[in-house]
Amino acid sequence: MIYRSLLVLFGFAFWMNPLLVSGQSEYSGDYAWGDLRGYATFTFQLVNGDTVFNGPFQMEHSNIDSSNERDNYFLVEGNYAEGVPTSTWSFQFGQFQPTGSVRLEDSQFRMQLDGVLHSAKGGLLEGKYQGKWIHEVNEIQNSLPGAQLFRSEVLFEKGVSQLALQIESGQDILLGRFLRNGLAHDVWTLYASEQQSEHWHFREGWLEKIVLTEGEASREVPVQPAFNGPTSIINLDPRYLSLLDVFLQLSDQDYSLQGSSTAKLLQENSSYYSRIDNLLFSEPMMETPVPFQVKVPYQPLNTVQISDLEKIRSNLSLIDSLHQGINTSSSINIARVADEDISYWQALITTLSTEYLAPERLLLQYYDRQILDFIPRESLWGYLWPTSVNRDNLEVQYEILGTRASQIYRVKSLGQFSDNPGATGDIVRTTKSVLNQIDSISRLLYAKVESGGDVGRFAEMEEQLIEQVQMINGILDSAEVDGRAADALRKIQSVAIEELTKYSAVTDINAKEMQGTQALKCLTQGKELAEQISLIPVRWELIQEEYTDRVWNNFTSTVMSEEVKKRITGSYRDILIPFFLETINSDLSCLNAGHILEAFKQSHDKMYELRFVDTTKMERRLRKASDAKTVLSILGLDFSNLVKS
Amino acid sequence: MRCQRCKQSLFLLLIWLMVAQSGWSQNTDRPTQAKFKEPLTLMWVNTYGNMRLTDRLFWVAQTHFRFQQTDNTPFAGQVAQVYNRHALSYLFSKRFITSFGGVLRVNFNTDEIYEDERRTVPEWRIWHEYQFSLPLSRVMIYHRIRIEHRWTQGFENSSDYIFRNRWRYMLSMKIPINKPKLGPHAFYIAPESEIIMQSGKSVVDSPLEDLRLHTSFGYIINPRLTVATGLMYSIGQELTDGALYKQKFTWRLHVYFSPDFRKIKNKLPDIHRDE
Repeated sequence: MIYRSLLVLFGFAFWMNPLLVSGQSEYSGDYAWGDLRGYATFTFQLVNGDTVFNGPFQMEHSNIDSSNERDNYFLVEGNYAEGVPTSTWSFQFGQFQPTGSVRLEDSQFRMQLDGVLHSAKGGLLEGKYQGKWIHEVNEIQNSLPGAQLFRSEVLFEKGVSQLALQIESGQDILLGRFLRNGLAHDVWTLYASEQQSEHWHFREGWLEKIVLTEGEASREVPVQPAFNGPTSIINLDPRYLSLLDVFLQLSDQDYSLQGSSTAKLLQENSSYYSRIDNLLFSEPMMETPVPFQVKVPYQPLNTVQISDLEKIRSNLSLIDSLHQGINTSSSINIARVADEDISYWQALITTLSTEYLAPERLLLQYYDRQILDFIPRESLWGYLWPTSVNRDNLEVQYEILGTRASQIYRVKSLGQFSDNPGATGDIVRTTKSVLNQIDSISRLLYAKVESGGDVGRFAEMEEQLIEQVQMINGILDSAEVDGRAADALRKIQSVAIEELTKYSAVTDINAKEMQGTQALKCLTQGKELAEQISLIPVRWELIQEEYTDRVWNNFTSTVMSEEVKKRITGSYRDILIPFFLETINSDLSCLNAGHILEAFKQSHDKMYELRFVDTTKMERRLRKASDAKTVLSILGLDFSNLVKS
Repeated sequence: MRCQRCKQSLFLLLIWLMVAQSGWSQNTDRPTQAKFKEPLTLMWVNTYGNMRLTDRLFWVAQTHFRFQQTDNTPFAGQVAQVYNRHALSYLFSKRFITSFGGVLRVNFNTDEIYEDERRTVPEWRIWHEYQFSLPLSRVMIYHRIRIEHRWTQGFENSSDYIFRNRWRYMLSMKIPINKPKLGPHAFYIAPESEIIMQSGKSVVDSPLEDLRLHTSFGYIINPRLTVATGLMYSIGQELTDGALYKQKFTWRLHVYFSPDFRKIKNKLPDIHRDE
């Protein structure tokens, strides 16, 4: 009897719990889904050892204290049927920062937040977008909704966009139409203001032209090149927008999508869709969703072309490594200062690698961006290698002893390109030939540098020498000084180059080491001296501030600023600094650079030292002093060796 | 607080004016018209010292040499008064200063001296002053209330001291011309208007002692020394005859000096730090 009752009870419990009946399990806990990490609650089935979502799915995460996290808040709610997303789904991704303290209200802790919230809501049917999908991005200020930054609304039917699209951001509103098969069609119009609008004319997915209007004026930009060959349907996504940019360049329209608000909105919309696509359709069995579609020319690369492009990549990367080696070699950088051949060869390698091979590099870039298949080859070849440009003679600009020079290099002839546009073999031969030329020039270069001494031995010292010169050049470029101070900086630069030249001319190893050590000391002092000069304006302001008293005036009831000890600061500004600059301009050498540097530093320190000591007598003596020698001696600075008798 | 005081002072002034008015109305042989004397010309050479003693205390020392026209010489024909004003001044804040002290003025007889008359007589005063300052953009505006208790006597040998109170209010401005703020090497324009009322047993129908309108042009040499000069027009009732108005044009020269006698010179007290 008892046994029977237990059996009935067990049967009843089994019938009552659908989970048990269906073989479903429930999970609540930490979970990783796509790129999200958070707390999830869902039901699932185990099929062949794999977790298959089935039923409601919820996942959330909040970590408001961490403002570094990409989304420090998210909440996803939806449903699965046998591993396929279905029914209603909603997503919220937020980036928040707390703005106030935590308060207790109705037994709940409340916190004020600022941030941005991206929410997306819509339906899915058998793993495909279905019905209206809305993406919104809103600003949140003090936990209240702020401005709407973005909104897009699209209607889907079995994953295909239908009828119309509406995207808003700030003042911009984009309205577009689709055919039933999801192809962009008719005019897509962006209204930026009453005066300004942008119209993209699609015909069954084919973008014919863009019309820009501003008030009464309008401009028509043809976009896709005329093409009679096969076409392909691709997604209207960032890849398509970058393809459009290439089309615009090919048609030489002086218009780029950089300035197009339509492109900006589509790009932004695409990024919000891909955020949820990556979550919903990440399972291998899921089909990638098809958002808006467009039609483009299609000329797929064949296997030979693909293999050629890989050869081009390999040649270019060999060229890059040769080029980089030469540019970062301290011996070459030292030697080129004084050796015209070396300077020219180095510049030639740079010009060949970057300027001459720019079209080849661009072609490879298009290939890497996966848009080469959709660019009509004839137009592309005409754009990258116009027959009107003579590629045989290359002007190479270089510097020798601080002055600019140039020579014409005759690029080794490759013969004519074949008439067939898209013949990637020609380009492989070009890059190979340039690689060979660069290789032989670099051999010449290294041979000449090595003949000048032991290349490796002084590498560290030479790097330091170059660093000092670069710093002097940097100070010269950025210092906000003029007149004699600017002249002095140029003088320091010329002394530095002279010193490098002397060093690079020495061939004897022992003498080279001595000369290098001496040059490094000189250049370091030169750099410090340049720093002192660049600081003159700022330091003068600080000294003036230091020598300003704030005095209460009882008659006016105001605080007045009064410059004090003007005799001292005046001698510094009007006599000492001009004297130091003049000494640099007329006499700077490695022998006196240290002295001048010391004089600069000590006289500046002296100004701070004299501020709060009794200087009455000194000021009286300074009244009569008009030359640097007397001023230095009154201030107690012993730099008489700098003063010419 | 500041405004409260202003209102109170104005209210007292009004009450006092009404009381004085009722006194006048009882006068039966009241003249029907005021008489204006020919304007006199004068020259004042004024030195103003403000010597800093502590963070908040100043010693105020002012010496004025006042000259008056003679028949032959305008402005500076003869000495009229030598005037010594001293006080201790206390800096409550950078917006409010008060002072308390005494005055010894020596009056010179500028008319014909008769047998029973003295050439000079002293005049004594106790005074206290309350000055409010207001910055308005680059301009400084000052309200000064000065109250004086004065003992004066005539030049006759037999003359006794009479006691009167003086109620003075001055509104003035200092406007820098060549600099954004008042400071060293700034030229400034200083318009001033001051009303001086008096009261006392001897004041029967002449409460308006003086109304002074003065504009000076100054130069701040450094925070311790300022010079200025200007012309002043003044009008006021004769003590003995309220219907009779004196008028004066005074050419004024001012020297303001403010040495600092403390060990740490020019040290700025904390009260000024927020400037």
